[in-house]
Amino acid sequence: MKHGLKYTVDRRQFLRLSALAASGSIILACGPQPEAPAAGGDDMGMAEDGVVDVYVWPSIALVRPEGSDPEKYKEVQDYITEQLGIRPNGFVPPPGAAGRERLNLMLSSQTEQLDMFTGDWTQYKAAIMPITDLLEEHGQNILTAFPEATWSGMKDANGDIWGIPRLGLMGHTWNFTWFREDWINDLGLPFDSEQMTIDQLEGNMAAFQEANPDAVLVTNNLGSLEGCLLGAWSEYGRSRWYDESDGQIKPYQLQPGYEAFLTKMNEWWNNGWFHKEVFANMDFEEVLRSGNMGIHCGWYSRMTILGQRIFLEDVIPGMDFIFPLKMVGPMGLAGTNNANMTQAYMIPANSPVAKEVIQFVNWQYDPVRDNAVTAHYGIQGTDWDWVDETKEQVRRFDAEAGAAIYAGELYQGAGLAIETWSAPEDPLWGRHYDHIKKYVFDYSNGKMPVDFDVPYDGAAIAEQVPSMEDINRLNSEEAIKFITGVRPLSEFGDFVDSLYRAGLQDWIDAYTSQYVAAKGL
Amino acid sequence: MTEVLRILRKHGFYYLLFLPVAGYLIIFKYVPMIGIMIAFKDVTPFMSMGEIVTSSFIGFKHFVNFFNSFFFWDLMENTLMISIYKTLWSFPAPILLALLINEVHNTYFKRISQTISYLPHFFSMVIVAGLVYVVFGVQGGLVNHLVVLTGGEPQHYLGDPRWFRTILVGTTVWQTVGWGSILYLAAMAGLNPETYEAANIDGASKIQQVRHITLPGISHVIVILFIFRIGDLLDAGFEQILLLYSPSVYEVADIIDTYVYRAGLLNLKYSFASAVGLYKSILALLLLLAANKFANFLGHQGIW
Repeated sequence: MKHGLKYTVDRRQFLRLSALAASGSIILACGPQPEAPAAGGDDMGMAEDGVVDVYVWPSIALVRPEGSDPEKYKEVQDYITEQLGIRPNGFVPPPGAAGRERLNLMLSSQTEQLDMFTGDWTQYKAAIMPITDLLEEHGQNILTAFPEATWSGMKDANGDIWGIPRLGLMGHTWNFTWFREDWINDLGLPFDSEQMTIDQLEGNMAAFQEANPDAVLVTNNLGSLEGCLLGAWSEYGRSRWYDESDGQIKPYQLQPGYEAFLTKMNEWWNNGWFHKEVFANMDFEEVLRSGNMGIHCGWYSRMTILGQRIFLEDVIPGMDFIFPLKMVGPMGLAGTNNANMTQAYMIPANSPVAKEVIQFVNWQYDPVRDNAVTAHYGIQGTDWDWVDETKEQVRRFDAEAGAAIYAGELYQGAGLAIETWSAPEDPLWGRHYDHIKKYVFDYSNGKMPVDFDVPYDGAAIAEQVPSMEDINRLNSEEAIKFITGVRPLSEFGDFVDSLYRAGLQDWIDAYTSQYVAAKGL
Repeated sequence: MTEVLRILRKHGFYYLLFLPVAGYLIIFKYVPMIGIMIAFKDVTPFMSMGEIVTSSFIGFKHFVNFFNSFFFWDLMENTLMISIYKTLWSFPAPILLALLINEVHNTYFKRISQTISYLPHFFSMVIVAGLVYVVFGVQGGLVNHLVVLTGGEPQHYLGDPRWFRTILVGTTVWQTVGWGSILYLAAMAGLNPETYEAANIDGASKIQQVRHITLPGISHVIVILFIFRIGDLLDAGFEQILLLYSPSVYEVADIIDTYVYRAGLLNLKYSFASAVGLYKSILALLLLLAANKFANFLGHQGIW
């Protein structure tokens, strides 16, 4: 038997040691911490190897939520560093709303360097810098990639540019009404890829339901439905409008025709055409997979990405959807063009490397096209290559089993310009990018929002309209009640009264003053 | 001073034990209270700490904006009604379950029942919401399947104001009943078995034993937990409602927290959100004080 030192600890000593350890850890935790790379610090973003580091928030949902394989990420990062002398670093955001919360926390705490992120620039104006001069000096590729109409959404009243367009003016989005192609063919129903009428839509939907009692009409939310169809019954569609009679900007709910739109939607609801959960938390994919969706009025990528995946799986043999370029009704075009004019890539005001960020993004906008695809998909020749010399189609290799994945953390080009240059060769993403390329700048299929080019100051409007959320809630809640018949349409006047009681006049005054100033009225 | 030192010397070990707790409370509960100031300022999300501290006070503007909200009274009503319904159903349910489990003598069955009843407590609210959709969904939902089988029409229960609160309360009871019963079971385990033996000899029935021995024996736990519940009366279940509600049911579902989430946090109006949070905390404190006083009045110990 071996003999050695033998320690015994009684219960009291054990508790004392535990208490000491716990207290000690508290004191240590409160002590000075090793310094994190500070935003706006004296090192001006310069690393020890003399290369400038820039930190960007991804502009897209990453190909893989957990981010790239480290070795692949480094390969792409090294390649760009070699090309530019600037080392880009990308974040991997938590999924869903937590991603936006993390971004806001980073912006407010300023403990980590962040040099580019996306959002509505009018909301973030207090935290970002104008980039007019930087673009002029280092961003010529970016400047020439967008039409002037899109740049107008990035400018304030003084003409200063605050961001690089993220969505801009999208003629092609959400204003499409998709019809079930195989049903149209099987039932011999009318379809014109150029133009369809509301009457034809109603005829087709009735025929769909006659053939299949479970057939439904689906939309993504009330806004999508209005964006698709409201213009059929109103002059301005889903757009604020200028009332000549009193010189005021008003919400679309107050324009003549909105009540007629609600009346028609209520009729469709009573016909049993709408999916019952359409204004709640409907699972779009589940409904699509059920094979009962006859018409979809909504956001294009629901069909070009989500739908296409299901069609390729052949869940319901032969199921596919087609759309007419134009839907028309008694008041003309039914759709309203989407003008997300203020969604932008922005540089935080305290970024120490603003020039380098613009240079990095400008590199991606190189018209030779290789750079954008590299930032998006990885290394040319290894992860992707052009299908032919036209450089309009990309063949990706990283999807092969076992290959290391680059998830796209460094891509800062999602938006309109770069996405129109090329499309992946694969049948899933090919449909999506082909759709964008065809329709992105085609504004002729929907009504143009009246004030699409007015650079509203969102922060000032929020300050002037403290009851904004009340108005928003009334608009969505009551419209849905009218459509679903919970509230009779005879009470539409009461609804308008309650909007005014909730502070609509503040809303009208706030928008009118900025509209009048911008238009010089 | 010497008295303080004497006490410290005498009970130093216990103060040492308390130090981590004090540190936790100071760092995580008291220091953040400095943030209350932003309820009285116009703070933009990207101000530095220095800018927040030196910015001027604007008084009660954010409180007034909230009180003037078109939906203020609706929000108060929804918050209180949902919370009261939840209290009415989910507060007694664990007591009842604990009483039932306490009477089970088959150890195997007892353990299985307890494990099954604790399980929902460990589900995140996202999972619970997903289950609710599966059970109550229009397309393929279990409840609607039964409705159709019995010749009825499928209903959109989650979008129907008449059903929404019932679903909320039912889900809460299901998720909390098992976990909530643990404290009561522990309190029952501390009761003297001889009391039950004596009652048995005197011919007391099971119901009489529960009424005259068990319930009075655990009444102090019931009172303390009830006081805490009253203090939480303005917390009607933000996560649960946010995940389940939609504009169709705002009139019965929109509570203070969901409103603040939309009006304050999503629009980066942190000062407004803080003002409403402070208002809620003050009301909760008043409710807690009142409940504690009432408990004292009834002869119970309360929480102090």
